[in-house]
Amino acid sequence: MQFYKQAKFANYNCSSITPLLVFLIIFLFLLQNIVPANSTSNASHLSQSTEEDIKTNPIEHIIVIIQGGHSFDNYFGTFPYADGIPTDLKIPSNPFALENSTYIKPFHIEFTRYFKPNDDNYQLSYNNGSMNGFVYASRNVPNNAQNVMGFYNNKDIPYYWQFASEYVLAQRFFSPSMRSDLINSLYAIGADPLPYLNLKNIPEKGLEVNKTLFDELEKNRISWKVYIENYSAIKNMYPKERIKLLDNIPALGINRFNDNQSLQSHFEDLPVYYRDIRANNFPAVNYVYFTNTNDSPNTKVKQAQRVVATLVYALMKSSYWNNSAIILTQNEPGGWYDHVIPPINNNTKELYGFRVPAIFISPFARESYIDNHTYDISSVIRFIESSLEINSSLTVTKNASNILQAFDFTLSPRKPVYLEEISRETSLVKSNSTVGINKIYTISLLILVMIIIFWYYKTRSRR
Amino acid sequence: MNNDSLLLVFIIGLALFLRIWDIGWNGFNGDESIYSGQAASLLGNEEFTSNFAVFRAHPLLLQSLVSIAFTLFGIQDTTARIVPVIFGMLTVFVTYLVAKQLFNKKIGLICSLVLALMPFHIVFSRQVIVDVPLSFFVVLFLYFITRYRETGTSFYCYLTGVSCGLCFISKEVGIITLPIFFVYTFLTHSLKLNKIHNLFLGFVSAVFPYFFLILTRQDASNAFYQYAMFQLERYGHGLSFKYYSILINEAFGYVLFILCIASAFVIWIESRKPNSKSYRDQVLLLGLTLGAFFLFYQLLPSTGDRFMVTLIAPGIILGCSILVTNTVKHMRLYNFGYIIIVPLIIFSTNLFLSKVFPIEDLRISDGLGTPWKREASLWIKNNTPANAGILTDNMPFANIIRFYSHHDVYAVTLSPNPSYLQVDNPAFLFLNNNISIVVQDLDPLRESKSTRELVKYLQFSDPKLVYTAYRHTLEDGKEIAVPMIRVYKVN
Repeated sequence: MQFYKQAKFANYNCSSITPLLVFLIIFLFLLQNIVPANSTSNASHLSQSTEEDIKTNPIEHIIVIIQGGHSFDNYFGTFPYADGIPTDLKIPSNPFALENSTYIKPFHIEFTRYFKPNDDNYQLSYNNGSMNGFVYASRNVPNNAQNVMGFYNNKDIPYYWQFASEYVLAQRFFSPSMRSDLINSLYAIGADPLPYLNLKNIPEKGLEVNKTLFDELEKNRISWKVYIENYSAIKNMYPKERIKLLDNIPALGINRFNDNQSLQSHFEDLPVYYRDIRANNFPAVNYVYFTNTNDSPNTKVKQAQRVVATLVYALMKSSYWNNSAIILTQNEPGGWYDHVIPPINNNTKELYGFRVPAIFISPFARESYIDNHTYDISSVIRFIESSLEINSSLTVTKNASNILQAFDFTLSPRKPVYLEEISRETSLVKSNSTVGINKIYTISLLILVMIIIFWYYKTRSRR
Repeated sequence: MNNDSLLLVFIIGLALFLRIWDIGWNGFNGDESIYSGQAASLLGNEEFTSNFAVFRAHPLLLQSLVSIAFTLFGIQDTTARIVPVIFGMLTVFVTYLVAKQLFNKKIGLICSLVLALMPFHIVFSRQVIVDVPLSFFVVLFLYFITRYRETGTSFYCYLTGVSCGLCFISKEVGIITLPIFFVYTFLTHSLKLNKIHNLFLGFVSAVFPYFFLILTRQDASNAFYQYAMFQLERYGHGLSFKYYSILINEAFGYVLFILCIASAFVIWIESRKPNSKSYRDQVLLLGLTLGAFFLFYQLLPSTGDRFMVTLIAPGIILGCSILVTNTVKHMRLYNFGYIIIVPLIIFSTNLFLSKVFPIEDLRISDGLGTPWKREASLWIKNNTPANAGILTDNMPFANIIRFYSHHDVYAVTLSPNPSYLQVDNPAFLFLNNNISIVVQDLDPLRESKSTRELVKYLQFSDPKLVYTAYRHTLEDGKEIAVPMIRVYKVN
């Protein structure tokens, strides 16, 4: 009897509590999924992107355009609101003999100078953190050493300035080291340069590099290409001649790449860049290198920036714009002056090289933004890895920051903005009304003839 | 009419015939297009005013005269060339007068005949270039200065000034005639300060239209200033001795060049001998003119052989004057010299030597105009829309296309010349679909960096070959057609 009574109670309780319990369970389940544990809420809906936003990162094409070498102050030293050339700055011609030094102030330079800096140049320029050895370091330059203090402005490089003012200018982007072009170039392709730190040039027998970004892209089956100006000509050069050009394009000096047909097929001549865009065949990762119109100190900067602008505009006008990011940067600062003391590179534990210009162009790049985060080229590689979800084992990106912070993927993609085409008509091309000009000449000649005839007859009659 | 006059008429007729015969066989070169385009703009023709600014580097004397020819006979290349042909013919006549005045009638006839037959002068006096009227007025200057030296009258001083002014408004380098006048009259003790004002009066009255326009029109004064700056900022080309030797041989020929030097030397030596007729002053005048113009041109950053046109007539007079020297007169077969000198000079020019020796007939001559460039330009005019954007590799060719087709034409090369539309980056023209036609010059003699640049730009789009202009030539007895111009449609 007692058992029956318990059962009745139990039955009564089940019939009324069960719906409540079910509801509670469902509610708790839903709550757990809507509110994740340890969520970080953004203070503002316009905050910078993080790697957690990877699912919303629409970037599918990344173009890295590498030139070399100009420093940040050389290109953007007078850019509004940037950490540019300090006022009243002057550098001694010889910091080791100040009493005999003249002092050189920064000035607007209208020409390029020939100079190829080496490791000693950077160390001398740095001068134990005094940052006053730039002129002295270039004292053997055929022209004036003081030209290292020159800077360009928006009249010289209007396209770069337009990109910088419209998109993101990174003012703490350092070259990876104070070592040679080769070392910095190896960083740029994700190769660990530690085994080659003492190399100044690619040896004639080539390089044996185990891992680069391109290998990771291959492993992850991500399309990539390297566009090189005049590549056809370079390909046909004798190895000894070719090697001399390759300090800035070390991928061509890696034996594995030269021996492997499949890897070699990723290297193309520069015009193919435009064809690939037109043919809707544009890879996910693209590196662009120049040989003739390189931005190195002895090439015309105006010409170089036009070529770069053409590449950028070609992408802007294509359907790839809405999911692309372009990084314009320099390999090394070329011996030009920069005032910012480089910090330590977390990867190499050595000093960074000096600042180089870096512009991030994308419909998602923050508008008119000067980015103060510390970056180097490995930050760009980190960006590639995160955007394309690459499981990478590159050591150069292990401790690298990510330029993702300069982008905002919460906004709709912006339309591209073009600088007005610089084609100026002089006032000579179109004249005002031209009627009457030839009459002036004709009438003047007729009057002249009449004077002569009159004078002639007058002379004759006198005789 | 005596025999000499008849002979002179024959020579002038021959000069006219050689200069006007088949004058339309080739189209304009770049400079002819510009000057003729300016002449058409002077008439207010809208097809030309947008492409050819009236005020450019040089004064407008030639262009004004060409515009008169256009008014009478229509705007065509053959019509424009009538003006330089007339100047060329008149140069032959005035050369006779100068040589007759300086030496004697026989020398006058010889010199005019040589000039009438001189290949270099024939080629260039068929072109619409400012050097042709300049060469005429330089010879006119020589005539008047000779008459002034002889008579000392104000009238001839005034006429000398007028000829100096006309030299100047043909081409600015004509100003060099003024210092030539002063140096010559000073050295020959014929400088009369009380008559000098006539020289300046004549000069001013001749140059009046040029400076009147500069002072009264903004576009004229802008052009004057900009071109002055452009010319001052240009640098010289560092020409070599080899270049000069080719230049002089191309213009004068080997024999005339040697005769000029020999004549000047012999006359100078003979002038020091007592009781011998001195032609030193004549040689001085000719030598000064040749030397001053030649040196002045070397200071300018200009290359090319067309400026030698100015020196041909004085050079011929100097060279032929060897026949008046006692040294030659005392030679056996002296009279034979009058007959042989003409073929000797003519056949020693590159045009004839190139038939025998492996040298080019005109090695330096920059741009004689070609039939195929005109053909290509006319094809473009007749087969492309009026607003089609065209890109080619060099400015001279762009100007030719502009003249014949009336299209806007861009060129890959960037010249700092203030008259040219500056295109900083031709690649943008492709990206912005401003270019629909690309014209490629395949002439191997003209290949340059800009030709290779054009090929690079072709890769920006998928070009479709729509027209080819050919040069027809004989090779191993067979006629072959060599492609010289290709026209591509892009976008």
